[in-house]
Amino acid sequence: MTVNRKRVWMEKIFHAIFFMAASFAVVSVGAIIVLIFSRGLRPFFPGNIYGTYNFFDFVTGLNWRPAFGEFGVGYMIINSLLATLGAILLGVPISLLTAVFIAEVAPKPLAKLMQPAIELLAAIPSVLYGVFGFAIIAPAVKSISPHPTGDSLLAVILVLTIMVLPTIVSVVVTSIRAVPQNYKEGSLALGASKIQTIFKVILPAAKSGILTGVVLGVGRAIGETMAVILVAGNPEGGIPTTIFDRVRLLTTNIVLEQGYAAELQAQMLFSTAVVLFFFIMIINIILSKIQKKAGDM
Amino acid sequence: MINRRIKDNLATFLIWLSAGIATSILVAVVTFIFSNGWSLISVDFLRNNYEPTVRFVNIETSDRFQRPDGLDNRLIFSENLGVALEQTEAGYVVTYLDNNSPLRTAIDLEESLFPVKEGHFIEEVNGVTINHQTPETEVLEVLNAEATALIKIRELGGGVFPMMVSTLLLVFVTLIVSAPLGILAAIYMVEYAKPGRFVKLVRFATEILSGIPSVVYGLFGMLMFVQLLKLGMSILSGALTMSILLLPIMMRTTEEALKTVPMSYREASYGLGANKIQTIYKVVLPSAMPGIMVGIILSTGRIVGESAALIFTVGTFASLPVNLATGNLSILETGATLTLRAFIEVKEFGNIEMASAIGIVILVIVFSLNMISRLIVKKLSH
Amino acid sequence: MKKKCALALILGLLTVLTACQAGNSTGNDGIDVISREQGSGTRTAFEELLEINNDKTQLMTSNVGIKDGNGLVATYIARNNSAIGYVSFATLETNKASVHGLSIDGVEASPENVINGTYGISRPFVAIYQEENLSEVDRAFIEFLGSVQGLSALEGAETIVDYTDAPQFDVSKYENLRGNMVLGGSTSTERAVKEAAGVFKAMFPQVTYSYSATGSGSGIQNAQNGTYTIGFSSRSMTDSELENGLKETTICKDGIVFIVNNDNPIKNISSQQIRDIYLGVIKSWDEL
Repeated sequence: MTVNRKRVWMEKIFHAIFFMAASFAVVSVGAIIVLIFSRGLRPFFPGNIYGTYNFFDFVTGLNWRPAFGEFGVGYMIINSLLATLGAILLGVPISLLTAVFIAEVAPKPLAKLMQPAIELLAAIPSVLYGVFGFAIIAPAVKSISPHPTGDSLLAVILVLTIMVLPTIVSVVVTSIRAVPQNYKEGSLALGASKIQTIFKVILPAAKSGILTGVVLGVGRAIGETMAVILVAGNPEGGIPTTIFDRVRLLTTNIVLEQGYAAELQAQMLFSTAVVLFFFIMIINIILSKIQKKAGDM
Repeated sequence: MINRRIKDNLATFLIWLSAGIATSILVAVVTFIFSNGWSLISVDFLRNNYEPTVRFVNIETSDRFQRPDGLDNRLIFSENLGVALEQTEAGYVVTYLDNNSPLRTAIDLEESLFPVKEGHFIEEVNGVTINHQTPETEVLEVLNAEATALIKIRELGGGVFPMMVSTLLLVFVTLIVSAPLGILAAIYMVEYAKPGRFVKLVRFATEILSGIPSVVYGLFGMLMFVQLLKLGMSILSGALTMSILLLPIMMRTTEEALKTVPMSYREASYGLGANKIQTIYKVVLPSAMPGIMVGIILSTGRIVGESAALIFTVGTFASLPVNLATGNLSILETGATLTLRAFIEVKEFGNIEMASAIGIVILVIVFSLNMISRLIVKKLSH
Repeated sequence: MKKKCALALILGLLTVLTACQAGNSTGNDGIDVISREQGSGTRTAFEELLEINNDKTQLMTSNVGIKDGNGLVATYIARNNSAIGYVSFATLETNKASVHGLSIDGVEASPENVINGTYGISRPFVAIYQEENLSEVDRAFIEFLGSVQGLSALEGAETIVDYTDAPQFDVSKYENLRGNMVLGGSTSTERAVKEAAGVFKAMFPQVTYSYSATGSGSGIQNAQNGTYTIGFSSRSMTDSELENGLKETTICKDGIVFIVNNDNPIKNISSQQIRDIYLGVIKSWDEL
């Protein structure tokens, strides 16, 4: 009898431990939100010691000139959006097909070689991709650009795409491999070709994993700072009219301006972080709606 | 019929093309790093401190040394100290030391041994400054003047040893905090949680966490750990920041791994009379280990490569994180990681070669970690 | 299988190789204007001295490339022969092989000309601290920075020092000095401060220090909130910053020089032309 009671207690304790671990995520988010938001939202409410700023102007403003009290992140929002979109449009198809290659199409020895290779790519620090972009990609863009510089939206997109590739590929390969063999065998038995099987049976079955990979990739692209800071150009205003124009992203703004973190401008940095936050949340909500739809199908 | 074959072939072509592109990019990036950084790699590179060290040393001598035959004419030789110096643009550098030279047993101001070596610069002797413009005759005069001397020695840094230690320390502490946390949380989500508000809340929170860019984590870490908790810029602040950053990844990959364990395993275990904890510990976890290892590998890679979240929390000064009082490694001290230093190298010095050299070290570390965990996975699945 | 393998790899390589055509073309003849980020002390000095961004009528053109870091500006310009930017003297020294400095209105950008006042684009390097936060080690270091030995160390880092009335540093005043200095701030002052701290540490082996190059503004702020015992900035504090009770000591001077790629034939420029370039009035090199 005592053995049983001890067991019950153990179960309860462990249950509690697991529960607390799971709650930690919620607690952290709470802490982050409180700390960042409290500083970031203050400028938009009356009574702020450093002066009040109009939120609408902040979000739609196309120029960032702290010397004149002009803080507009509107252009950065657009730039971040364009950069991420570009990276996804370019990166997802390549990643998906590469993952298919590794998991299904490649001859066994090649696949065995490629998988650790891709994982190695994921481990290369963003800074080095940035240096690569700075030394190789930017000059390449410059040679086809109408501007006298390679710092551009295009360079940012290319660097982001390269960075997003390994993340998405790894996750998708795992999901494809996790699709039960009998799905594949069944499809082939019914007379479908290998390609048809891949695209009509396996990929749809791996959908949740694929979307997870895409979400992770998007997350990486939106949040990338160090790799792109060297090739973005980071101007103080303006929306790109071509992919060869310079851009400043929400993320690079935070790092660049951290050096003058005082008074209203410091608060504005947190406000930029808040905007970034919402930006990401909105995208995540959209993505999770898509995931739900995919899950229901 | 033909339509399908064309489609199939096109698809196959695109698949091979994508893989080709992805591979070429990998090759291009790695080649770039290696070709740019290779020239700096040496044993000294790995062993030395990063910052140049300046020391004052005392020497006493009574010997007379002979200039060795075959010594290059450009070098000047001091009979007093048994050392040959070369006048370079950066100053006078030691190029040869007699085996019995008193410089080999020089004592610094703290009474500890600081042997002078080849490659060290001599910058001051008994108060007389020696730089690249000082004429050779004057240098020799000063060196041969007296039997005791107070000499200022500069050892060029440029080594990555402190950064390596800082990086490994950071990885270690971060994993110790985030791995158990992530795994325990994932176990709850997969094995215990019933669909409902709490689960949705946790999922939502994890989604948000994984979407927050590292810069914002850096800002948060700076506020929370460096300033509020007064941990200062330290390995610990960085590790705690990284743990939160990695939580979603650890949770997600562990969950996926746990999910791939077939229900039948668990049912069989219960059937044999085991309770939930035992089942998880002895059946589910081991079976999910490969997937969990993938999570840990990804996390390690992320830690080693992280810079934005660490600039404001760990600091950028390249030194061993050593506690002054105890002389031991301490996580409460600052010490830039490899990646952070590489970034500063490019940002402030435009030194792509150094950044690439550091990159090579990083790649070697990560690749080895990769290999090790693969071996572990292989062993576990037997 | 093998054929497809080869084909795909070739195509993949071709795609990547075309992208890798590292051309150093000048695009068109446009000027690629480079500036530092807002928080940079170097930039503040630049704006003040050239009267750009002073009021809304003299706005710097928004089509400017922002690089955060002296070295980065130099490295970028070394690879882009249509670019122009500004860096500290020390950075020009390090990058002499690929970029050259422009003389302004005929006056060469040199330390001598800064000292005799003919080259006006210079700024002070300052040490900033709260009196109460200083330990004995910090006080000794600040004294060291003002002494002959300290100035000599700073000079070794390519700054401009003034030896008049500088005392000799008396090591015996501080026997057995030990402790840690948490220093930080401007990226421009990093090299000079580390140089001086290295020599200081050689004199007092029990002293350790760290320097975090987080930017002038953060140097000032962290000196105030105590994260750094001494903060360093490449500009003087503003009035509002001074109100916080911080003390400021100038340790040396540094000049700002405009640089262009060595392939660029231009060697001299007028101050009005520089202003026009940064205001966006002059847009291409042939207008000079």
